[in-house]
Amino acid sequence: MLRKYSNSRSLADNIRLGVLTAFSAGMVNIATLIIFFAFSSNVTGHYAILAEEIAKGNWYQVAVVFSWIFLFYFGNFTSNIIIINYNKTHTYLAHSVPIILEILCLFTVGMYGSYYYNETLQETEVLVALCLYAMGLQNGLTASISNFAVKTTHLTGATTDLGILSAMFTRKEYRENEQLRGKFKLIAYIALFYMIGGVFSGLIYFYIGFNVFFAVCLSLVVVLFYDFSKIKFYAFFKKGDGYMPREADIATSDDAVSMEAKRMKD
Amino acid sequence: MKFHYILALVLMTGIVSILFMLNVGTRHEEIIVGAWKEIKWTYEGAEDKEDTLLRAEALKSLRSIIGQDFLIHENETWIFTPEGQLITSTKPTENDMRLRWLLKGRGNILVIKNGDIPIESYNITKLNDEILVLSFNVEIGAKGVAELTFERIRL
Repeated sequence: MLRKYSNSRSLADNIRLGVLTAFSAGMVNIATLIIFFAFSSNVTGHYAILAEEIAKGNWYQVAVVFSWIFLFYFGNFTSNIIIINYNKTHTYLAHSVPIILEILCLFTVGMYGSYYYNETLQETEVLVALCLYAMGLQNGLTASISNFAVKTTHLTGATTDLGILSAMFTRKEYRENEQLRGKFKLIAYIALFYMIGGVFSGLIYFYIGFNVFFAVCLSLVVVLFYDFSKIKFYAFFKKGDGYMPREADIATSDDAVSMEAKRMKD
Repeated sequence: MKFHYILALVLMTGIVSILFMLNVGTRHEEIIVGAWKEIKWTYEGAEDKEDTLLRAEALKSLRSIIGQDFLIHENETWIFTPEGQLITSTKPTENDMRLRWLLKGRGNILVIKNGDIPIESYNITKLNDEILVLSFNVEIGAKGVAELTFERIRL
């Protein structure tokens, strides 16, 4: 999921990444909506609110909403600064660090919420800000490494694409286009799992409260370790004690994986 | 290199603007503290009807039906204490003493809790030194938005 970059990614890679991260984003968004009465991933709505608050002259609220939008932007910025600078030398690490930072943010929200949260407005504003930063990190990572194919924290663009593709599929020539079908499948999966994540979060929140953020962390850990285990697996077989799996079996055709495995072996 | 300076300048401007607005703006959590007397109650579903005696009666009965499920009673006075307690009566009962108020979102949602259990939430449509307007969704036959307008009083 995280090892490959841009055009070297297959549809399956993007679906795996999209499904798990969309599930996490759906969970976070609904959790913050239930707990804090604020969305943490759909920034378009925050822009509308920002305009409304400016028009009303509520400068404190303008500052709060502006800082939320700014942190979402900064999350995207952070992810891509890391990816751009370390992608060629430490691919897996460069793609993992944004996820690790996201886990840290959400873990902090979960911990603070469980043990220290007094439900003051300032606490609410800061915790929502952390969630927006986390969603920015995730969106920046998935969009960047998938060549903008996977965006999982909001569905405006995805719904637009689904509408466009549905219209295109009324013509046979487009229906038979594998690339377009793949794109439709990917977006449909993202939308579906975002919804499932949201519903799941809404259901479990009433039983586990703030621990819902730990559940999100868990799904992100799966994203991290799925590839880590594959790299270890590959490195193990590269030591040359017996059976060597086919390249197709472990999807190691790209340079990034070979480089990572070589580094680990060294 | 020029771009780096521009980016740094934009980021710094953004941060300074946020800090400035946080300082000059007034926080809902502070303004809402005090005593508020209900002065008006409106229901959007009834706004376009002619202002007749019959309508006034209908609104009154509608209000009492909605009031059964909400805190609102007749000519209510709400006192928001700085400690987070909400007093809705001049002679509070033991139950009244358990009511807490919280603000959520960006300070636009008023949540009322009984102990630790959330019982109601209202949208804060307007809040300044003199006026507090709360709105909430009701579903009685047809959906609509009810609005409660309060005026600050000095006790």
